[in-house]
Amino acid sequence: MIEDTIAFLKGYKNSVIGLVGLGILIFFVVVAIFAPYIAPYDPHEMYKPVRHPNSDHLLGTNHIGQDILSELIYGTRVSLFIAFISSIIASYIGTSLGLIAGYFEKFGFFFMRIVDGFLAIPRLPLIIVIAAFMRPSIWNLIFIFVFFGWPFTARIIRSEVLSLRNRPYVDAVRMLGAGNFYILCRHILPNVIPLVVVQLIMEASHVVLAEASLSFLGLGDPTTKSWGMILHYAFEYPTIFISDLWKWWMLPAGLCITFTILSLTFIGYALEDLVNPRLRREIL
Amino acid sequence: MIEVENLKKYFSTGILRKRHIKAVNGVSFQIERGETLGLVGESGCGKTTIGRSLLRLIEPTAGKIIFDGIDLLHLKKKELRRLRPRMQMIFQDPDASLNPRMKIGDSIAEPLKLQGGLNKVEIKEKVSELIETVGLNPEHVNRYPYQLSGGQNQRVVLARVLAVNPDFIIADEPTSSLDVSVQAQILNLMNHLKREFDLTLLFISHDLEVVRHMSDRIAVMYRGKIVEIGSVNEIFEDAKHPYTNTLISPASSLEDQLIFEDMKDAWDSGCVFYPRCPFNTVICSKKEPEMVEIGKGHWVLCDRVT
Repeated sequence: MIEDTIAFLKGYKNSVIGLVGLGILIFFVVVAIFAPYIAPYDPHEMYKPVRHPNSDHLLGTNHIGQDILSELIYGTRVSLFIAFISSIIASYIGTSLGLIAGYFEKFGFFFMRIVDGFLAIPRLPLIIVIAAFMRPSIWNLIFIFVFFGWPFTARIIRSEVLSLRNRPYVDAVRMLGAGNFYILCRHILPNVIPLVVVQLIMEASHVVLAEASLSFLGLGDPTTKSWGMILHYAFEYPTIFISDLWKWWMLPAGLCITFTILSLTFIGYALEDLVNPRLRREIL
Repeated sequence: MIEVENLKKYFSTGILRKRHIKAVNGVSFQIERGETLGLVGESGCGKTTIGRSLLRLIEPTAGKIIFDGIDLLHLKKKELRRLRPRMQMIFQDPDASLNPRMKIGDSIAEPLKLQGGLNKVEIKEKVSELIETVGLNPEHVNRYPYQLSGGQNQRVVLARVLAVNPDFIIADEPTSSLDVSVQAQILNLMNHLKREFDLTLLFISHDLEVVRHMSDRIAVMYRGKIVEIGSVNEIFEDAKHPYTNTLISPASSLEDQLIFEDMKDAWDSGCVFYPRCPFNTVICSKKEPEMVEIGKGHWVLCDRVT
């Protein structure tokens, strides 16, 4: 396992795109973790409203006088938290079900029809509809993202398990007297972990975008500070586009979202290259 | 030791219009304790299916398998699991027979851990003992399968198989993916281990010379049926079935096979070998032949022999 990891890191190091992505992501994660120390003001504290950027408020203040820079910094926290929690839970559920569905053929066949149903529904519109009916809160958002996120992982993991299950070494281990649970945990799960990681990263970037969309549409939690919420209030402000306000009120939040998704996508691409079976021999 | 009676395995394709592929179509044979039975036939004739069915890695459609007095097909899952270590299988591709993410040592230690009863030190000792038995270096323990050659990996597989102290081993083309020089080493090692550990072997191969070298008796298969079974001498010196003759004669040509490959699905009754048989008669295409014993333990599936 340790050698695996080292070889893996060596492979990752060669990927420029992966390093750039990782750099951006680490920046955002650090900002999220140390938000209370970095942010100059409490994002809920109100000062003079709609100030242009000045030495007190680097990005000015919003319509009710909250410091926009502090909002952004705390918003990183909320956005990343939702993204990672829901993608981790979704990957966990998707991986477990994918393993079972791939290993037990009959169950898997019927189970995949359910997954097909999920996948056939356009995700974002339905999320919007459901979010509109639920009370907006972070945990409800996470629930929605998990609910719609796991089928992708389940499907990918299942197809990998289908091929792993028929490898001779699985038969060999079965002949040694191993049970299904043992084979799944010891011999199949470790071989799908790389795929799970890639899937988790991709899922996280989906969630960042979906969360921003929902908040932007006013379906997020109005009291928490997330990037989508900043955009939402900015958009609602009457003169946002006729004045210069959008430059420091909307643009930074939009860029944050863009760069987070970009970094996650870069990391996903780099990882995908590494776990691609054609290149696998070099990293194993 | 193992007794197989009328074993059948059909694979079906299609959902609405089911078609059956009769991979193994009524096969019977016995293997005595300490004996090696060679199973030969061209690819696709059902050799591997027999091997996997015997271990219930796939469920046979019909038939009876008695292993050491135990009826395998009526065992419950739990009992089967407990019995399984007594039967082992060696696969064609040694590299794929080992988990790529596990070190050699861990792969060999796995059966010992699964069986329980040994502590860490004892397992380690046993692993190094096994590694020595199959002629590997102790330093290989910390390597991964992809760092070893095919021949070395097959030795690892042998060590893992021996770790459970099996009575019966099915070797499914264990050397066909190896270099010729390595083949001989592995075959000799297997022969040596067989004597040392008093093993019973079913040796599956398409390579006649290899089977001749390894076996006490040989069964020749054609399209899901055993067409002739007898001692090595009987098969090589005194073959009765026309297919066996085609197989062992050096002049058996690929052309013959190609022509008749097209006719594969054309008929469903009569002798399986009818389309390719040089002595075929009208009756052969209608009436299915039965196994006849023409010498002690020498059976032939052909009506024309007697």
